[in-house]
Parts: sequence; C-alpha cells; structure tokens
Amino acid sequence: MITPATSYKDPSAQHRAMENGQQALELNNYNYTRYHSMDEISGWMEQVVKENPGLVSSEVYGETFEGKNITLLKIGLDSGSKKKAIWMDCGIHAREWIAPAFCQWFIKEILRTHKTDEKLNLMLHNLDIYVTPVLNIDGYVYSWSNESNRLWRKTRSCPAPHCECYGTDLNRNFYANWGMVGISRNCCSEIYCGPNVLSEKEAVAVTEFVGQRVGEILCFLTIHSYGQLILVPYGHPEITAPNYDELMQVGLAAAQAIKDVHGMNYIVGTSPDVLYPNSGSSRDWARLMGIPYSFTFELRDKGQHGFKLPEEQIQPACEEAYAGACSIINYVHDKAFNISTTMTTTTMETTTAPAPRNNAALWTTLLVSCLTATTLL
Amino acid sequence: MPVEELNPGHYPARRAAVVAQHHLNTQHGSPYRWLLLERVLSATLEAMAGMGMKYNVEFSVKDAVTDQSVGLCSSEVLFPASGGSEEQTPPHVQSSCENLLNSNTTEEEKALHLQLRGNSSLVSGDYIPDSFGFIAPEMKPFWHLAGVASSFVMLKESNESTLYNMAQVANVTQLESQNDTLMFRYHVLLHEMVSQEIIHWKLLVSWCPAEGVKVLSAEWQPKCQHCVVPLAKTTQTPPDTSPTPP
Repeated sequence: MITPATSYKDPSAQHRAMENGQQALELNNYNYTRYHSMDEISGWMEQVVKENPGLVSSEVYGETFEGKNITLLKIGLDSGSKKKAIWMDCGIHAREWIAPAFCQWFIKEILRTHKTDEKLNLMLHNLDIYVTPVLNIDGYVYSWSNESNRLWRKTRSCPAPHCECYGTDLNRNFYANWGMVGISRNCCSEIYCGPNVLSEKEAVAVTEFVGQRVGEILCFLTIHSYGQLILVPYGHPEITAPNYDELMQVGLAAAQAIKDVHGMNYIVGTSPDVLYPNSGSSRDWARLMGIPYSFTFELRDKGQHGFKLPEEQIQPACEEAYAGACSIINYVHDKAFNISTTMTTTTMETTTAPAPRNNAALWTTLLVSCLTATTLL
Repeated sequence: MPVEELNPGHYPARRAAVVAQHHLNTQHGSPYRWLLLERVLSATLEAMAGMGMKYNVEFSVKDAVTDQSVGLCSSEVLFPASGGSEEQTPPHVQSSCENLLNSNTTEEEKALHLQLRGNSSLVSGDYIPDSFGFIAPEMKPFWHLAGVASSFVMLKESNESTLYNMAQVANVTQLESQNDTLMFRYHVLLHEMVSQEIIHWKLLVSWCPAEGVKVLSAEWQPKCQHCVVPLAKTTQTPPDTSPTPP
C-alpha cells in the first residue's frame, strides 16, 4: 500500500522530540547517532565540561555575525609542562550535518577510552585538543529552521549594499591566496569569498585563536562532507606544500585506517587534484601560517545521499573517520615527541622523492631536525 | 594527439565517470534500478582536434536500490568542443557493461505499476529525504525514479567543469494518466559540486515497465527572484535520448 508521503510522519521524529525533552543533559543518555540542534549541542558541551573536570574545559573565542558565542572544548591532561596542540573544527558549512555529529563522536570516544587506552592517555599528557563542534553556528541554526533551508551552506551575514543575497562561504574567506581561484565575487554564489578577506567574524575568530598558537598547534583538521576525501594543502594549483610528500603519506595512512573499519574508500590528494582548485580555505591558511599538518576531511557519502546522510549512517561514518583522525594525530604526536614508529621510518624515505619534490624532502628532513632540537632544548 | 593516462582518483576521471553513470541511468534506470558510480578503475584522456575532449573510463557500478555492486562498465565520454560558445553542449556517451542487467527487477516493477494503476488516489510527497536523511520505505521507489529522471538532466547539463548529484526531491506528484504509462511531476534539487550550487528543476516524467523512464520536459527554475545566475534555460528532452555517436 502506497501512502502519500505528505501524510507520512517519520516515526523517529516523535522519538527524537521525546528524547530531547527527557534526556535533561545526561551524557550517558545522549544519542550520538542522531543529528542535534545547536541548542542540544550547546547543552551537551556544557555537560561534557561539567562531568569531566581536569580533562575538558571550554572557551569562547569569538562570536558569529548574529552575536552567538563560538565555543570550543579543550581536552587534555595536566602534565606540568608546555604542551603541543591539535585543532579540529566541524560545521564550517551549515548543511554538512555529519560534521558536527563527528566532532561530538570524536570527543565522546576520547572520554570513553582515555583511561584504558595508554597511548591516548600519553597523548593527552603531551597534547591539548581544541575542538569546535559547530563553527558556522548562524548557518547551522538556519539549516535547522525549516526543510527548505536545510541545504544552506554559507554564513548568515548581511548582503553587501550592491547585492541581495545573504552569507559568505567561510571556507573561501581565509587569508590564503584569497579571491584567486575556485571562488566567486557574486554574493549570491555558494562560493562567494566575501567582500574582503576575513570579512566574516567566524573566520576572524579562528584566525586569531589559531594565529596566536601557531608554535603550539601541530595539526589542523577541518571536517566537511561529502565525497569521501582527505584533502591536503594547497587549494591553489600553482603552489605545493613543502612537506607535500609527507602530507600525502600521512593522509594515505589515514585513508587505510578508515578503510580498515568498514571498507570505505577515501581518496587522498590536494583539492586541485581530486576535487577542484579553491583559495581562501582554512586548511590552506593553517599550512601557510606554519602549521605543518593540515587536512580537510570530506566525510560520507559519495553523492547518493550527499548532505542528507541518513542517521543510521552516523555511527559507521564516525567510527571510520575517528580511526582516520586518530591515525593522523598519532603520527603527529609520535613525530613531535620522538616516539619511533614505522611511519616515521617511511617519512625519512622521502629523501628519494622525485626531482620536483626534492625541496619538499629537504624541508621534511629540516623539520625533523628542528623538532628534535626543540625537544632537546 | 597522444592519449594521456589519468589518475583514477583525480577529478577529471571521476567527473567523466559520473557523466557515464548518468547516461547508464537514462538507458537502464527504473524505480528499482538506480545506478551509481562506485569506483573509477582506470581512465584516459585524448584531445580530439576540432571535436572535443574524449575520456575513456572503466569503473564499477552499484545499484542504489540494493546497495550491491552490479558490474563493471567501460564508457567513452566526449565533451564536444564549445567553439568559444557559452552554450552548454551535452556530452556524447557510449557504454558497455558486464553483468549490469543480471539483476532482474521486472517483478517488482510490475507489482508497483499494478499497485499505482489500481490506487484510488494519486501518490504525492514532499522533501524526500527529510532533513535527517529519512525516507519512508514506500516512497523509496519515487526517490529512485527521481534519481534516474534527474540523470537525464544532469547528463545534458554536464561538462568538464561540473559534477552533479541529486540532492533531494522537493516534491513529487503523480498525474492522471489514461493508459498504462504513469506520469509524474517532479521538483528536484540538484547539487553541482564545483559551484556548490543547489539547482532546481521541474520535470515531467513518464514510466511504465515496458517503456522504461522518460523525461518529457525539464524546466530550470531560478534560484530566487533576485539572484538569477546566467544559467537560465528550458529544455525539452526528446523521448529518444540515445546519444548521437561522435
């Protein structure tokens, strides 16, 4: 019997409403396999901080165009000495709902395993992990406001005087070859780079917070969907990262870790190689500023559901992406803290890289010596 | 012109393969067969003097309906030289596949057709899937049919600078029909990856198990009143959409 969909009610919708009312911010009851509104995520963040003293703290580091606080969670154990850090942001594009779901999953997994997983425990003594579950809060709230706004991508900033469309593509607004390739100057475009570089308060917030910690932050991870890709710098096709070979090796190892979980294939490469050229991305900005490891994750799927990944895929998508992120963080940690692993051995082989990448290999070698020197000091 | 080997993971190979996927749907799609590119295995590119860019792609295909891998295809995709014109020229595609039609969907199609013919009311639905990715089980065939019908448009609209997927069915309405051919009016939202635009089309779609899926008309919808990007077009898709060989 075919029922008109107009009269059909998603049984999970009612369930969802009840759940949200009842859960009253008990972390144990929080359902990580559903999408959550901004209010629910904010409540969850407060609860994570409350239930994990000495491990998780929160910091407001900026506000959105509409004046909402941009908050991150800082996860780390006190080691009594100067620590390094990892950056992760989710939800820079409003419609990519799986991204905020992943940031929550990522934190949940760390909280669940840090006491029993010795390696993770060691890493939390050496590293602080800064996680922003939703960066483009205005856009995310808008995408939740009704079904016809679900595919909103940009910020919600007011149109420039000559134009009638709202919002800027935050991931074209950073100070990284701003306005050059893969952007639009038309404010109605989904890839509008903004009237000027860093016109968006959300991009300024990240720039200031991360910019003040460039020596501290080893790795910059920015989470998107969809396409099943791991993107390495740069988005501009004429510029190659000095450690391109190493970034590719680390990215390919992450893709393998992802594949090992549920068999999903992720493609690794620069954006101009595997997706399209683009400038003004936060990933490129982070690398240009001197953060050696910078990656964009494009999570599931490859286009069948696109931005509307069904909720039953949240768990597998997050499980595999968690393995991918951990693979990168492990590598970065071990290299910075002189823990020898097979991956570091592989990295040293970049000295045999083909001619055009020789300077990259040299740079990698220099980086290794720099890090060694720093650690010795 | 030399034939260039392409990295199958890089975007030129993938874009060509997705065009081939759309072509396969126009040929073989139904409410129970919606073909999607699974993985590009190999690809080459050849610049054909005066004709355009010719891609040869080998790829595996899955059926979105069963989520099963259904075979390997090999396609030639020719993006015609624009000759300096801004007009979109549809690519020419020829494909051959192994095992593709081994999955027999005749029974399901017949059953759905019978049911729809016998229904006292016409089917309609909005927002498929909903914001949470949920699709009511009985609406899935209409989502698959939308994917297949959208492939007719996405095939015609594709060039080397595009990558199209269907993002959502905004609305589907079954229309009265006098014979065995069922008629549907669709409003679909397409996602173009390179521009990141969501593009609205209204389609008039016919389907019956014997004749397959046809898109009788396709009308591009402006994004909003104030922001008409220069893409505006209305196309009439002829019932026979088999490509002209290059």
